Amino acid sequence: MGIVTRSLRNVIRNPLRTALITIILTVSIGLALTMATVNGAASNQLSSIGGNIGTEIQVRPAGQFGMMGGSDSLDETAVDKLASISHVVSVQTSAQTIYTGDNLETPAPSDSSSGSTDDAPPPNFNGGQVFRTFVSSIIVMGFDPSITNPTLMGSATLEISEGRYFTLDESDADVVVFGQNLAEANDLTVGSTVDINGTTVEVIGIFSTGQRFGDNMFVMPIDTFQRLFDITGVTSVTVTADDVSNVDGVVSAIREIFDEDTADIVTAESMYERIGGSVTNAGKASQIGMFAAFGVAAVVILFSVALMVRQRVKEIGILKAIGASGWHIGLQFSIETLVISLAASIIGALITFPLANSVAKLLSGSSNTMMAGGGRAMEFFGGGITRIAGINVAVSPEIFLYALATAIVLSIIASIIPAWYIGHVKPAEVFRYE
Amino acid sequence: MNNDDNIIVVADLVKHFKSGPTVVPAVDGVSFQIPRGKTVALKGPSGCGKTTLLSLLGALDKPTSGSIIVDGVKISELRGGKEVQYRRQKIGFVFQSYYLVANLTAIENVMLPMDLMGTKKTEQQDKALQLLEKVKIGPKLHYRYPSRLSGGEQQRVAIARALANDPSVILADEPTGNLDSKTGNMIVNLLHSLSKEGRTLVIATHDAGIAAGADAVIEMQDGRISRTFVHFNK
Repeated sequence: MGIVTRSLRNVIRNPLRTALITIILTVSIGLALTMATVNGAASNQLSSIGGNIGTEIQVRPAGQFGMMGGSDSLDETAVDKLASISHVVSVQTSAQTIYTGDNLETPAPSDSSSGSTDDAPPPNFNGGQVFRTFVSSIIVMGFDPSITNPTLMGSATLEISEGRYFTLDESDADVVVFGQNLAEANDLTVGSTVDINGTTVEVIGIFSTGQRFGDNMFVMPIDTFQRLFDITGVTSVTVTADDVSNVDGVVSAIREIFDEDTADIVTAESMYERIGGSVTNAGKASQIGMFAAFGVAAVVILFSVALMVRQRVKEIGILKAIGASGWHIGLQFSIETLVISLAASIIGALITFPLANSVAKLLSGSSNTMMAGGGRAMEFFGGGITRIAGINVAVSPEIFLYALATAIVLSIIASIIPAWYIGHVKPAEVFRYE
Repeated sequence: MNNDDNIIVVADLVKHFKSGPTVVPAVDGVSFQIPRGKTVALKGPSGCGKTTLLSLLGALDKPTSGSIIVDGVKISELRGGKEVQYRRQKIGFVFQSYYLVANLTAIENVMLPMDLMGTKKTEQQDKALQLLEKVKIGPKLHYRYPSRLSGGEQQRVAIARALANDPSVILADEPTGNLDSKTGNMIVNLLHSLSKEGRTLVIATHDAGIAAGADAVIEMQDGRISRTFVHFNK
């Protein structure tokens, strides 16, 4: 009978003992794997947040908040220079104003008693609508046609429900896309025409935002917007840096183009720090948990091995007496330890995988809650809540396999211990004291 | 008698154990020679040093001083792999408590020393069957685990195991100590039959039957040889 067969037979020699050791190891290794995968998910999320929001820089006319106050717009010649700044990967421009013409009817006011925040207009409109009854002003926004998924005021995301959005070659075309409420209030459909400040424009699409406020807007290509509303420049520019570490450098370069009297510059840094801080804390906690769980697994393995070897010290003495070398016996015991540890690692991994996913999703959920409280600052980052909430923190197989490999390495290290101990067993002493 | 005829030559052998500050002389200046093919009984009260002397002869322990030469090998100077080789090839052990490996069957226990030697499996099996037949273990018992064998059966399997690698010396420590008299006699007869085959046996025993059948009796007291009865010419 070979050494491997003897080892495997020894594993099932005492099924209760093997089962108990396997269960304890399964729990501790499973916990370690959970923590490792959560830690990996937290790292991924941090990286994701940094990659998605940490590189955006908002440039607005100085003193402007929403549509309130400040200078009117940013100089377009200066805006054009932003694209040539080193480490800038994109520059997206937009402009907005309140429609004050007579050709569009404002949608019917909502019930003032309901007071839904979705229905509420942004504060301190310049337009002359009745504020207390929640009658929204009509907001018009101009976008660079290259922005295919523009974010409207109030963080609303535009989704075309009928027709289409404007194309790159329509940057100065007389086309418009209406919010659903506004279109209904004015009996407009795709293909209709409407007079905007003396120019007939064609309705090429209807959009929905899921918000009453967002659906009371209409959007146009930015050049058309500037021509019809006699606005020069843009009211908002989003500059995206190639890496979060280059944001400060890009901000400095922007500041050379726009001084403090001309523009306000807002980076995602502060928000990134807030979001990242929480995720980092969660990551650190899971890292500590991972090390603790691996430590527990290591102690369990070592304790089990020590117990197994101590219980069978007489057998070691017998084997030595009949001519087995310490290396031979050590290998036999190491194989036994390795088989039990590997079995526990694999069982632990299989049981843990769904658990680790759930915990990782919990981490994602806590981040959402935190970010949802981020208030109006979030609107700077183009629907940040949705995007951050959308970050996938599910357990990646790579992280999971990495953690499993760690557990296996731990088992291999633990399996060396019997070999060391057995080398020191003296058969004569064993027989004397047994 | 010429020294070349002696398979075991022990000279000034000392083995001390430390018990806290006290040094216990388990074997204290023992010298003797045993000719090849003879049976020697070690007698004496418990704690007189019989088992320690057997452990030293079997290279299970290191002497404090003195020398042991077995079959031309100075075992008191053996280390590591050579010590293992010595135990594997030259010595067969029989213990009072049998010490069979619990999770191996009777035949697997007998095959184990041959497996450690690297003998082919078919040869292991053939020889194990022969040895089990020799010690009167029938086929029904071959695949039983030690827990399902009687004391006498276990001891006979242990003797078969001791013979597996055809050792020149058999060391037996109280081989009948855990057996009833009838079974003990069976084991005594078995051991004496081995002696007749030309093997050298050193048996630590209280059993008068074993001592009576031995070629020599060494009586020990407090780690020393107190008396020696030699019948090598019988």
